[in-house]
Amino acid sequence: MNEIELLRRIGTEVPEHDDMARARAFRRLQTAIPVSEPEIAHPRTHRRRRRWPVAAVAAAAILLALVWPILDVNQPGARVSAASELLEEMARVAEIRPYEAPQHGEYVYTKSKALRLAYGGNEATGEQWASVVPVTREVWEAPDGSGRIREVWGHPTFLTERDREIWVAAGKPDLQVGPFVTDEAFSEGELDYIDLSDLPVDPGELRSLIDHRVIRGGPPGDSETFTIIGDLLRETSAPPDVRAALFRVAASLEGVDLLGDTTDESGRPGIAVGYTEDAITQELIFDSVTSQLLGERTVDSQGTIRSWSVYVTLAIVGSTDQRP
Amino acid sequence: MAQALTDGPIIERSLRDPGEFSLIFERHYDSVRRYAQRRTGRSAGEDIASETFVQAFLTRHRFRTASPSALPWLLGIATNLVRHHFRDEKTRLAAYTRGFALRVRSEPDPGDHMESVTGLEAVSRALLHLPSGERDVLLLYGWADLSYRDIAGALALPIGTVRSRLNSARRKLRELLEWDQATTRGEREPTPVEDR
Repeated sequence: MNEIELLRRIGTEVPEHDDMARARAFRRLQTAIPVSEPEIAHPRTHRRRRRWPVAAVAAAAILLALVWPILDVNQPGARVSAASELLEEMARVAEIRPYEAPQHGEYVYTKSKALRLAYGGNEATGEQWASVVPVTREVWEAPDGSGRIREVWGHPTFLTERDREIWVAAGKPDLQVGPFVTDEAFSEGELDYIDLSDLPVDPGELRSLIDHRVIRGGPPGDSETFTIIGDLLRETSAPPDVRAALFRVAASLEGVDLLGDTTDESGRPGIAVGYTEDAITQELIFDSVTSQLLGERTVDSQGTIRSWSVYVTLAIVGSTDQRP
Repeated sequence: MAQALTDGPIIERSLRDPGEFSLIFERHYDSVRRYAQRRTGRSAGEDIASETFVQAFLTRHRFRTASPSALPWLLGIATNLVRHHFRDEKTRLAAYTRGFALRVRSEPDPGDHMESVTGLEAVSRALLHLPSGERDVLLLYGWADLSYRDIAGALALPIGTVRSRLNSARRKLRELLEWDQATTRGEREPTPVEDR
């Protein structure tokens, strides 16, 4: 039996037909088929790369500074529209930011710091404890999906004294969330690099692709759409007009709140918007001058920060051993 | 007898009447789902198949309507989506390997049957370690039964690249297969399962 004959015998337990799966897929497809389609989306095939002088960026920052005080977030009902206006301003700033696309053999380098939430449990009592652990993450990602991810996990601490007590009662098992270092290389296609350079810059078309989870998969709903927009603005080097369109898609979501001035967890000033679902608010914090995403955090209804991330470096480098 | 329309004209019509696209779904859903589920498992594979048709619908203007079948195009989209699920794929391929390894160890006197089970284990393990570009070509050939030309169209590759990737992948599979069959015959020391 040769290698292809053997190969064909692997995975044959997958059923020939699956009516339930077919029905679910068909329903999903139907949501993408409009009753009356006005126009077919034609993503742009050619994009002119623009580099704008510093003066233009400064002008946008002044424009934002002029608009920002006008937004009265304390008026009832004003928060959603204020969030939309802020995100529209962010879009205008994003449009004129300088941009450099990674070339063949280059990597987008990002460095972030985060506080991650980890859970453990006492099997005998069924009680759970929560701990948080600081993680520094470096990612080198090439357009072909190759790269490297290095993470340094620090010492975990318990979220509350009660969490520590549950852990002690369980016999102090190894938390298995740090400290340690992971360093992994990825070959072509293994990293989830999303090429944003050919996406439509029309917010309606872009929203359709995001809503239907074409760019990135996930459950339906605006909360997940907000998360995906954060993902796309976060670790990927997106062209300015795509970034602008992402801000405009966020502005079009109902339920996005303007949370106002804040500082991220590394102390940098920014402006936050948030989306709340099941009493948990996911916040995105932007630099008001550059529109860059500074950080994210999740906050519960008591105001306790459950997890956070800050993005400290974004650059293009020539190898997975290079740092800016 | 009326001849059924090929996929090209149906997709062309769906540009004016989007509902026509459901015929493409009816024709090819099971093939796309099976391919995706064999690569990434039941849950991820179902998601990938579902996303494939949504993405295909939204980008159907790119389809070359002269092509008789949309299946290679759909499998190309599914293959790109599999790359976003590489952890699911590795888990799935590792599960195949573990399953065959357990069968090898649990059958006390399998006789001639042993070589084929050992071979299945070797091939599934080799799949895990192939570069993703070679794995894509190999599985479109071996699991989806696409021709070289169709694989080239599906992955937007020159046909020569398809041929060289397939040859390279098959050579690697054969090498591991020969090694394992020699082990089974007792000509070599077996590799401990945990080191594989």
